[in-house]
Amino acid sequence: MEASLLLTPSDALLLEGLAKGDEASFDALFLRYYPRVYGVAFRFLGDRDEAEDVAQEVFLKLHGRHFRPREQQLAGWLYRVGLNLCRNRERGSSRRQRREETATTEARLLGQDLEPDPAGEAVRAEERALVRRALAELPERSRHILLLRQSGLSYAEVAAVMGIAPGSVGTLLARAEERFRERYLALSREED
Amino acid sequence: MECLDAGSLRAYLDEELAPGQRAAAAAHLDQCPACRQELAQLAAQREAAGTALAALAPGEGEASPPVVALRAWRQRRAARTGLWQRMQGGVTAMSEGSWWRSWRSAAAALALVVIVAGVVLTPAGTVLGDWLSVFRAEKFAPVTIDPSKMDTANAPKLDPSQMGEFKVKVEPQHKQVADLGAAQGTVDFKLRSLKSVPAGLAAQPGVFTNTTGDLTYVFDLAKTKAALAAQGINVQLPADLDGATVRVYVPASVQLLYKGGSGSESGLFFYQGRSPTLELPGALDTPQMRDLFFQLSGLPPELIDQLKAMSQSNTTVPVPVLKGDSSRTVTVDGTQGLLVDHKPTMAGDNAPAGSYLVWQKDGVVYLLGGTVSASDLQAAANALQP
Repeated sequence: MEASLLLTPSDALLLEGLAKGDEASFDALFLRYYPRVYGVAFRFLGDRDEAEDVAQEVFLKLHGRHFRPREQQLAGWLYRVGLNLCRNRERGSSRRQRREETATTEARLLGQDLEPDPAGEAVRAEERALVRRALAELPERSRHILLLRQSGLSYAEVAAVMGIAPGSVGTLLARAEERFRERYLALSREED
Repeated sequence: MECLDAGSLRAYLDEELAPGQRAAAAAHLDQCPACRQELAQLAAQREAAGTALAALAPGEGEASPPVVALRAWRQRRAARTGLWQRMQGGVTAMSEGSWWRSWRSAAAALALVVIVAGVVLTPAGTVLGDWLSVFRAEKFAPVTIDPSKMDTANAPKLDPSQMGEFKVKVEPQHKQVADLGAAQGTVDFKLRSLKSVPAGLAAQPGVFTNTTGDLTYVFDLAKTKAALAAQGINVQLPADLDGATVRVYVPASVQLLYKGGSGSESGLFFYQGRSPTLELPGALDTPQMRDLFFQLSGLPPELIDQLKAMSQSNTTVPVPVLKGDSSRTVTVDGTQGLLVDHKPTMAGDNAPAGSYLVWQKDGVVYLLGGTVSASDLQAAANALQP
């Protein structure tokens, strides 16, 4: 454990390497943060291609930047850039929604034929659609805080990404969860 | 101690309170049934929301392994670099934050297209004397660029350095100066600025000057023949190509930069300068040479067709417009300009939404663009001072 910690270069060291044009430093940062940035984008966009596109763009920006974020800000910076790209897409795109609806309908119709776990896939597609509908009825801030937190960001990271005080994360989160639960239950009842 | 608010209790649940606060909260919870009840309620709420939201997490087969993603990233970057290098032409690199870097492509494109257009479009009919064509930017017309096509056909087949030699006679210098007054002395036309700056941007722009740049490129026939042969390209080259010299002259220009607040991606740039010119000797200004340049350029066929179809003019600049963006001719500053409205809808496009406008008046080329709507941009362009 200790040995691996010693062998793992810090973000600061890697950022320094990146500033000097060391590609290995960039690769290490990419491998360290890509899954997390992708995870956020996927939850926001619900589409693998779009989420990969966003995550890739985030790292293009990191690679091309002249003024790089400082170590403590790196994670927050990456998420914030990712979130902004997601928001741009969310606005214009009803594609995802259509696709999810189609997927749900198809899942219902084709039930048995879907691979590898037809029943499970169908249930999951429906469940996702329901969660998204509930989220869509929340104010943007509530939606963002729930998705960021669900993606595993700490309060400090959530605060940095959303531009709010770390002390207010708990309050916003409690309110968002309450609203979400309410809308989610109401929509579930409508479905039944 | 007073009762805990919902936010503190929620942070307590996530172990996100500072150690001191956490101990105090625990002590209070020990002796306050009301807070314990609220904590239990918040915990149930967290559990319910968390379980539902977990459905959105990428499942198995819904995420690439990081190593695979890194490989894809490298390909994307290589493709982008290919496009960028073409888009960047001779424009001075600036490090003014990412929005500028995205939007710089518009300014860069102008310089580039003057060069590309000059090399590939200048018709044999419009020669100066009988040996020289001069290309100068006066009018602007859109050509559509599809970055995804650029990606697949990104590599030019030959590097210019394999066919001749670049010589920098005068290297352009780029620097920031105090204000518009300080920049005025560097150009021979009256500098202009925005009368009213769109909301959210600094009223006072950063002012940057670029001094004159003078670059020549001299063809080497033997080198070119060898390089073409290595590519398996067999063409008849005119003997007078040897030593033929292309001259690119970029007069001094000034850029104003109206920036958004710190950390903001928004901004507006205003480029003003006399048109770059390109002088092309007669030996290069033939249909055969043009076809050869296209063949070697690595540009996608659709773009080549567009460039070829453009009017046989050596004063019209093809302005690259990303596929998905819209462009239209508008009246601006009392003349005709080209307005491009950019929306980042395409995959692989990292420029923020915005618009840019290019026009020419009294021999000066103006390029105004940034992260503002087309209508705001037009309004700004129609209210310049003086």
